[in-house]
Amino acid sequence: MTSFSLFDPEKALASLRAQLRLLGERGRFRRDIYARAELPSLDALAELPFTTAVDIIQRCKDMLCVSPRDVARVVSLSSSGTSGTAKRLYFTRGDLERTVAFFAEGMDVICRRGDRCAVVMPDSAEMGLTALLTEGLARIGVKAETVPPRGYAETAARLREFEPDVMVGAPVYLRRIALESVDIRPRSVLISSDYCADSVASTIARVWGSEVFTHYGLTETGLGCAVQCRALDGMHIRSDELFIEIIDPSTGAPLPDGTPGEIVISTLRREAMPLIRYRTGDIGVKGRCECGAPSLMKVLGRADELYLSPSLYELDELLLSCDGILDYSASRGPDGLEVTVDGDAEAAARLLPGARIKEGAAPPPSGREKRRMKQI
Amino acid sequence: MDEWKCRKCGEALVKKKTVFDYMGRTFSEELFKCPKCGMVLIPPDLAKGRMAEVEEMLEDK
Repeated sequence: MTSFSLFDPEKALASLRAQLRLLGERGRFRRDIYARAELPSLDALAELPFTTAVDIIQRCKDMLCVSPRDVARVVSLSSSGTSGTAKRLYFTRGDLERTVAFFAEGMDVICRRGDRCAVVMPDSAEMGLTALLTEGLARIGVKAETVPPRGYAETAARLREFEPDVMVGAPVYLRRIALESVDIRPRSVLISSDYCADSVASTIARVWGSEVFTHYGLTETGLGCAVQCRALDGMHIRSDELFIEIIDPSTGAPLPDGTPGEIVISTLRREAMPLIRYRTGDIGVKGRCECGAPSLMKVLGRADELYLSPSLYELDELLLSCDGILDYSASRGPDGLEVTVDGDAEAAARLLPGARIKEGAAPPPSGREKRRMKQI
Repeated sequence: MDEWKCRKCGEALVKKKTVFDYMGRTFSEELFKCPKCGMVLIPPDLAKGRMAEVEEMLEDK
């Protein structure tokens, strides 16, 4: 089993207490609540308030627990591009180093020494995602090259030139590269950046004959969070760094393993900006991998889309199991479900008899944006 | 702004081109600077305005 996924409840409890102490002593966000919290057990964590994306946008500076000079990297996640509305996350050198170590151990399951790994993600600035992943890969003797997702033909040409043994990238984007460029055939693929329906992973596996692994991570989790092992079952949780709860997104009540709910994370060792019960907005199912590791068994998309039927995840399962459908976008309005299909629209109409189907090119990939159902 | 003086050196600050370096990128701005020790005065509207905007733009994932 991967060492990062070993879950020791005693250690997790002690780490959470230490994070609360740090926030109580050095932070200004909910200082009194965190300073007073005794946390007699892991279950008692559920008594503490959630941290939301809005809390981070409004109070990120107050969540900082180190001197600004000890911040090695800030990541700003902006949806509007207006200053002051971004989610800013702070990391120390130590925080980043633990992410690199996680990447190295997680990728060691997938890669062999001497492999070439194409990272099909937007090139990040210094100490960003692709830089940390490249560093992690170098530690296990793998040469990485960032191939930013651009037009499909252009990206495919660069991949052909690089001849990767392993490829890392976003699910629907890599599926389309596979369908349009069957000759590239990396031995292994790691899907990241977004939720991945089984149909997407299985298409890539079938078309390329690759072993397809999935990873789930957010900037808030220190980029890495959970990754599949060779059993290709659950995504092993980075239990030395994160404590994960699954909650009912409407009531906030904790849910048992096996039940889909919103993924809530608490950091265990974060130095710059510890997070307690941060609501990720993603829906997941917790359980155990067949190898025994505590895992996220599935990530099913966004919490605010959980009650939509069909959800985007279900649409992915249905539509992206058809090789003729390269991509699609979906919106839901007063007139019901509307789906714009890039590819075989007739097949989509057969699969979704009640929906309005249009034909149209999918928007060009941004490489950052997550797939969402548009609400009109 | 002409009356700004460096607290440490007592010198009157003069407007000078100042180069900022962040996340591997550089950008410059005319700012008041102490001619002796090089201390730079960053006015709050710059710090909270354009500088914050550029920072957030560069702080990519």
